[in-house]
Order: sequence, then C-alpha cells, then structure tokens
Amino acid sequence: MRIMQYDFSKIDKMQYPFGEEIIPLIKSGFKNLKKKNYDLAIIDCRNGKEICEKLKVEAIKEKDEYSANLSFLFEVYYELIIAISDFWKLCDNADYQDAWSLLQDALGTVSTLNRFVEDESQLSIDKISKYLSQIEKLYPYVNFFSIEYIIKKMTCSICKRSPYDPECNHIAGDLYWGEMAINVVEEIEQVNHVAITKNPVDKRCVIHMDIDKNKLETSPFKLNHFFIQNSKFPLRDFDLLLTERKL
Amino acid sequence: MTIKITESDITLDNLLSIGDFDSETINKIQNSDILLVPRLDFGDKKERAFYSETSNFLKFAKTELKGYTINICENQGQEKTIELRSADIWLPSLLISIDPLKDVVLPTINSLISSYLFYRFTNKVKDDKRQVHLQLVAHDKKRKISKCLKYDGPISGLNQLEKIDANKIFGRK
Repeated sequence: MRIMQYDFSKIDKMQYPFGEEIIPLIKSGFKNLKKKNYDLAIIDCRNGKEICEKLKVEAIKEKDEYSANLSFLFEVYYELIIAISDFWKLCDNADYQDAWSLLQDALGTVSTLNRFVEDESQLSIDKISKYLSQIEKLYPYVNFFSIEYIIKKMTCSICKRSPYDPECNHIAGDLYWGEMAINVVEEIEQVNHVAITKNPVDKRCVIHMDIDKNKLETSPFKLNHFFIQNSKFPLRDFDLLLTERKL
Repeated sequence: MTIKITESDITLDNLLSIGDFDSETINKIQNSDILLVPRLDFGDKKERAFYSETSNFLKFAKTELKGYTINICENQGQEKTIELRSADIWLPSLLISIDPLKDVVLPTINSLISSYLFYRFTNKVKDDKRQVHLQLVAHDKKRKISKCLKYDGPISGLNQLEKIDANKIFGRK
C-alpha cells in the first residue's frame, strides 16, 4: 500500500478553468505577507479557499478524486499562509507566547503538505518547512502537557461508522474525495492523568509565563524578540547556528 | 533501543477465559492468524482498550496481507481506545498464531510493521525522534505456549527484529 501523492501543477485547467486563479492568489498572498499586509494576505487566502471549495464540488461531480484531493491540499496551503500571517501579526506586537499556537498551526499544515505533495520544492514547501522549524527552535519551550484518556466511542469522519467497524476502510489521516479522514471522538470514558512530556503529539499545551514586554531582551523570549526585530519581514531566509552549552 | 523476549500471558487459553466475549469474538480468537489484542488491564479500572493506532493498523494489515485472517480481539461495538497524546507510536499487540517453524510469518510481520510506519509517519521526512513501542506475541499452537517479543526504540531500529530467529524464541533446535 503506497501513499497517493499529488502534483500542484496538475490541475486540469480545461476541465476546471476557474482553477487558474489558485496559484496567482497564493502568489498574491505571499507578496502581501512579505510586505506585512497581513489582512490583505488573509483575504487573498480566503478567496483562494472559496475557489478550492468550488473545485472540490466540481471534481466530485466529475468523479475525479485526484482533483478533489488536490483542492484539499491547496486549501491546506492557504491555511499555511493564513497561519504565518497571524503568527507574524502577533510577533510584531511582541505577543510571542500567543504566536506559538499559530506557529504550531503552520507546522501542522506543512507536515500535511510534506506527506502528500510529490515534490516538496513545489511552492517552496521545503523552504517554508525549514523556516518554521528554525523559528520553533528559538522558543524556550522544552516541556509540554499531555493528557491520557480512554475513548468510549469514536466515529470515522468519512463514513460515520466506528473506525473498528469492518465496513469502515478509511485510514485516519488519508485523503478521500477532498477530505482528510479523522477519527472523531464522540465520548470520553475517563481522563486518566495529565503528564509532562518533552515529545507530545500536540505542542500547544505549554506553561504560560508572565512576561514584561518592556524587558523582552532579558526574558525567555529574547531569541524570538531578537529574530523578529532583525528579520524585518516574514519568510526572509535565515540560518540558525546551534551550539551546545553545559549547564 | 531495547528488544526483550519474555514469556507471555497473552495466550489463546487466557483470552478465551475472559468471560464477557461473545461467540463472534471467541470465534475470532480461535481462528485468526493475527489477532490485535488490547491492553487487558489498562488504568485504575483495569480496562480493555486498544492503542489509538489499532484501527488504522488493522485496515492496513488487511490490505497488505491478503492470505491471512486478521481480526481485533473485542466484541464489535465495544472497542475502547487509549489516547496517550505522546508523539511516540504505540502499535497494537499482535498475537500471531501460526507455527513459526514452518512459516515465514515473523519476517512478514516485521515487513508489515516497517511498511506501516513508513506509510503513516516517515514518508519523506526522516523521523527518528519518535519512539515505537511494539509487542509481538508468537503462539505455538502445538505446544500451547506464547513468547513475547517487545520492542521499544526508534523506527530505524526495527530492522533488528528481522535478525531474530523464531526457532530460538521457542527454544527449539
């Protein structure tokens, strides 16, 4: 069983002429993002997502699962630009802690694109992935909270059956007709405990710190502050030289 | 990375002695080549529950291993799931009830596990930060004994399992 991968250049423009607008809107979104016109970048992306929805509907009508899934991946790409825009908007206001969740959103979209897009250099997914991972390393977070619980009832988002039902053949995380299958938790039986871990599935659960915005240079977010102050605009290339320090 | 070979409590007889399995589940326990077994005593309440990868692994295994009977050990509709929220990968315990002497089942299972992990987690990005936790229980039908092979380590270390000889696990010459 091999994972199906997709090529962003393979939109059938004869079949779906409106699909031609998808790439220009991505480019416009990036242009606005780099100029720090975050709200305009987000508007571009929302317009782009509407076209993707239309593409999905048309593709399903044409029984064309490849294009339906491609529309999903383009939507994920727009989500990526939105997340980076929102991240930078907060960073410009020195809200580095709140920006962390948006950075995780962006990394989540990149992870999906890395999995499903045939060539990661398409639309610079590889470069954006490296850029975001480097920013993540600037954060002071090492430990994360993670809960353990028992689920009594789950349903597959595609067929609405239990994922254990022999009739359900959808693998969570795979794409089906423009949707990603997920196992939806319907009923939790019990939460067993909350743990502190260095390697959680979701890094959003962190300890919130009281930070004086006037003393950011000496705060745990000093690296983020230095980076944002000196980087000047989003997606500007930078290299991170990591050194080890003995404590 | 650790690989441990131990005795196992997961035997067909032990599973069949669990009182609340219905006739369909009992049939699955008796007749499956590969049975996905839940944790039998999870948490304070000692509940039966599957790790969250189980339903995906079941579908993948059924697609990959067409000639084998693969089932989960639970009454249909009563499956519970453990969500650990760790980035580690907890695979279901597999009870393999095929005579390992005359079969190539262990290498097949190892290959299945590697393919699954590649499919789900490491398509392009090499991901050795994630730890894999796996328990394979090989059941010798003739002698009615089970041996457990437990692996905890990175994805890249799974190839070490291929070097394990099923005969040695059962102490045969």
